[in-house]
Amino acid sequence: MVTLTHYVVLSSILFGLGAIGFLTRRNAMILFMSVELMLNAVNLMLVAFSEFRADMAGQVMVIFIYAVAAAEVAVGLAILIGLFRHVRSVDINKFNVLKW
Amino acid sequence: MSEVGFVFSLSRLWHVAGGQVILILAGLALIFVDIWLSTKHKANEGTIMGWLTIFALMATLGHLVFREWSLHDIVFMGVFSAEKFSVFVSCIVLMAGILASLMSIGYLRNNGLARGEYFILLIFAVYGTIALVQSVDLLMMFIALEVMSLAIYILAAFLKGDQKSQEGALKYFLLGSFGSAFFLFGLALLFGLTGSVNLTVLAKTLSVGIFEQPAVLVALGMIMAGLFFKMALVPFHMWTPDVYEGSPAVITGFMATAVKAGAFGVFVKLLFVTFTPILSLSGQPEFFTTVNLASLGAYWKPVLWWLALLTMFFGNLIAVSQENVKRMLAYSSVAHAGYMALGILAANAEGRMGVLFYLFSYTLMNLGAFGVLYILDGKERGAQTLEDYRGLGFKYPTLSFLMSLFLVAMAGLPPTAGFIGKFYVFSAAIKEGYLLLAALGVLTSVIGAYYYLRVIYMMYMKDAVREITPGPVAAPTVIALVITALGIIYFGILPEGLARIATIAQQSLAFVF
Amino acid sequence: MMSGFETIVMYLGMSLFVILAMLGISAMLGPFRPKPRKRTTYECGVPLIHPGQKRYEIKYYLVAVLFLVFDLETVLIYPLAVRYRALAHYGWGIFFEVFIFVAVLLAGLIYAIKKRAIEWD
Repeated sequence: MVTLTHYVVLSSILFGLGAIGFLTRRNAMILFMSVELMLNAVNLMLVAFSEFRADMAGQVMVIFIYAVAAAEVAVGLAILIGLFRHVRSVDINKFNVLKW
Repeated sequence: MSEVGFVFSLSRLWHVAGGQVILILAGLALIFVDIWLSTKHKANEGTIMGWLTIFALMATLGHLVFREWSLHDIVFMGVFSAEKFSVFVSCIVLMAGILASLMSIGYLRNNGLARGEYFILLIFAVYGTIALVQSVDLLMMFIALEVMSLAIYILAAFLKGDQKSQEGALKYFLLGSFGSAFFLFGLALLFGLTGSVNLTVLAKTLSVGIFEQPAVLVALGMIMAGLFFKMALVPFHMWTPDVYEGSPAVITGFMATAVKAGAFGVFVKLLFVTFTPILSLSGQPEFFTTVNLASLGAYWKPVLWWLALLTMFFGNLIAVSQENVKRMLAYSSVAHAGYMALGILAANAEGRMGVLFYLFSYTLMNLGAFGVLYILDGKERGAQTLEDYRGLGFKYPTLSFLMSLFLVAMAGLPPTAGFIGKFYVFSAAIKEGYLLLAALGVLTSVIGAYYYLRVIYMMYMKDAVREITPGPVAAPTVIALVITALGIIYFGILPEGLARIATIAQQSLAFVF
Repeated sequence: MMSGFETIVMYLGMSLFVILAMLGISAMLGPFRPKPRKRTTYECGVPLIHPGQKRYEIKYYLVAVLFLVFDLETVLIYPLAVRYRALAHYGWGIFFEVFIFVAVLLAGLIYAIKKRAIEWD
């Protein structure tokens, strides 16, 4: 039997994986994907809660989060391309003109 | 939706959230104006777009001051509210937007960047911030937060040929979206636990006592962490110096004031509406409800205590070792966030009033400082190190005097509004018994005074080593600098009026819908 | 509850096993004597003109970004389209809401066209 707890634990694990990926990987594209993984973990949890509470509001939120995530990726890619023109790399260790 | 009983009423939406409607319509209209201008009047594009933006922001400000200030209402399926607190913060944001637009006209001209998108993005950034402050629904808060952030990310990357600008923007983007993912996770948890993401409903549900569950505390912690990223309190501040140094100077000023005001405003609202009602849900003193939720303070207050301490110390200490004035101002803005956090921690009427006053005066002095900075720069990255400021005092007396005034205000010295803001915040903290923290805060502001006054010392007491060429001063920038300078002195000498308005504004949080 | 699902799981397991077995057995039994000539893409065909992995042209990204935004915004219209009959008693209000949304998207599209973001050259 798959209960609500399974979904919550699964989405928490996915969220954690995204966070760990974000903190450990060095490729900017992978960082984007990690953030998307975190957002989609939240989406999974919202759908599970929505089903559990018999309340469609959760699924409405998922749609909004999708739309926002798409806009975010669009802007992020544009900025990354802008930086790529200067550095010719997506390795975040090479983005080092600014440091204290 | 659990309740579908909404009425599609444009007139009501206009009544309560008309400021936002004006901004959206203006933003959309300006897109087409920009297309038209870029084909027909390429030369004056920046100037015309700038003045149209200022006009739109002024119209919004008028609507907020004359219509929404007197309201206490909630609209659009319980998503937006118009109460005095959010209107006050929105006015600060609009003021920052107007001052930034005034300065941007000259800034874009000096940098050869006359592009209309800049102002469209600025309008949407202001819109996002206002929607963030006015929303009483966590989902709407998230969307508004993203609208604001996305516009700011692009503005931060606006200097296309400059690697620092691009790099700062990417760092901002990555950490900003990381932070908002945390906000979302907290939102989802709260939705699962209470069945709603509306602040009023949340407060009602939480007050019954389920806040003792660890999941609620995790959700609360994650939502707060998401906001701390935007407020730039210390463990969450890593992006701040890089982004502030990399971005166009005027945008840095806008980010340090408007975005900060939005984040602090919504944080105060969230904290005191949902997690610690001041009075009660309906305005009636329901003792048990209030006590129940107030005991949540035992969880968030220690966290905020440490964050405020770390923020004040790190911000000020690292700023001392900076050679780049723009980067120094970035660290100082982190430190100022610490003082405001101190006012929130006090959690009394005076503390909230102090935060509002501080935000207002900080907006004036910070934008003023960045305005002078961009003129002295000539072109971005022209003259930003401390060495470049040597001996400016007698060569450019007006600019140097203005810079000194803004720096003195940021240091919190008496005849300026900066002193009054710090005074309110510290006295509120002392009243609540945070004596140690207030004493440490005063100590850090002495450190702060050192690096602010060092710039003034460099300007007046040292001889120039390098010839620098400030850019031409555009008329709109003069207006903005005069407004900021007069405001700082006026509210430094006669703070009572503003303080009274801020007190009334924070009272509106006590009667929540 | 799981009755329909078990066969699928079994099927998946079987196919996974068969694939792994085929790969594993051929790796164990087959001889492996690499030569540079042998390791090229077409062992007994034409030599390669250039490496197979090329960097995409940057224009693709601009189109991809625009596509991403406009494609995903339709997600917001879809639920309304599905439930339109049930919402009919709100009258024209609901129609105008969608109309406003599409108009905003249209403004963005016109801007993209006018700024020549979707022209290829």
